[in-house]
Amino acid sequence: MLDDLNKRPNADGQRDAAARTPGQGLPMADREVPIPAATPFEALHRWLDAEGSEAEAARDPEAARFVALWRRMDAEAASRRATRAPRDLTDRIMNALPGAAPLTGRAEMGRAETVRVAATATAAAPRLSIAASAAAEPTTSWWERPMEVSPRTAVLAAAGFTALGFLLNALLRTP
Amino acid sequence: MTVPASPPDQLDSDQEIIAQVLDGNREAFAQLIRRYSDPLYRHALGMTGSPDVAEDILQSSFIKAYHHLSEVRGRFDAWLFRIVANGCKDWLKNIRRTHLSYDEDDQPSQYATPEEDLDRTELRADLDRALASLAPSLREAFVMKHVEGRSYEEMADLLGTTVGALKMRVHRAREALQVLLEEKYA
Repeated sequence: MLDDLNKRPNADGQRDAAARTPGQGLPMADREVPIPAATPFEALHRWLDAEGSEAEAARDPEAARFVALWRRMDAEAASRRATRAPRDLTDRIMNALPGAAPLTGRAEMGRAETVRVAATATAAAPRLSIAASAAAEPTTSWWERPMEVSPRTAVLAAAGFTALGFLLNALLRTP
Repeated sequence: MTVPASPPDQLDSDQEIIAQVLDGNREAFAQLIRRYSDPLYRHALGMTGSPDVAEDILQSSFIKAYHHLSEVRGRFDAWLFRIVANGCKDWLKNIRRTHLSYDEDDQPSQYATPEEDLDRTELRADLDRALASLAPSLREAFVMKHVEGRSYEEMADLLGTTVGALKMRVHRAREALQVLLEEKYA
């Protein structure tokens, strides 16, 4: 069981056959390795999958130890299955939605992108509040809105800054 | 133990509601929230173990769904589920939880005696800790199968994978939970 410490590609850019084993490099839990056909818990899984009986599951002494545990777990799962979302959640979500309808047309792609960026930022916040999600609303104050610069505005701004530079330069050189 | 998939009538109705929302009837979106918030909340709660985080994930997922509503192709419930499931996985990736609990859960006790209630609380806490130690993919499969009571076919449909792969994940999750809980309960 030695680790392969030389996983660099060969001269022709190919990795060793061993390094190309399916599943290699994946986290252990994500590998889809088939379960051997005759595990002691096969009957237990069939029972839990509603494909077999409890008596069959309890026949194997190794699996029988867990039958009572799974009965309790099932009762706990049933109680969790009755959990409902908080009653005011719908209202809170509706209050956090923008006032406008979702965008549909390609003509509004630019605006949609702006809204999407704001929505993504909102979704990424670890603790979303109604105030934070309001950032996606069109009623946001002007200083909080994302700045959009068109090519025309950019050229005008550049010309303005250049003129200002010349003016300052002239003023500084004046004796 | 199985939750039936959305009936065809409901899917048609989803499309009708979506059309209304896209036409400017913003309030119609509340029907979609009411229809799907309970199962999605259970999923988020099962995955994160925290009612507050589950609420936040649901809130941000519905807001995201609203903004992208015109991009829905096919089943809305499956599309929405993927948004929530990804939100849960992102949260699990970004935050290392040291304590997971349903303590803030305000569900009334269904047990007759204080001893039963205590037993249940203890099992809940132990199960939460054990679930938190599972890999997200195993945890997701276990929660969908046992907590949400979905069939393997429905899970495969929602997660875009095969029934065989999901059975394998659920079996692995069960065996891992058995190992974690056997000392105390078996």
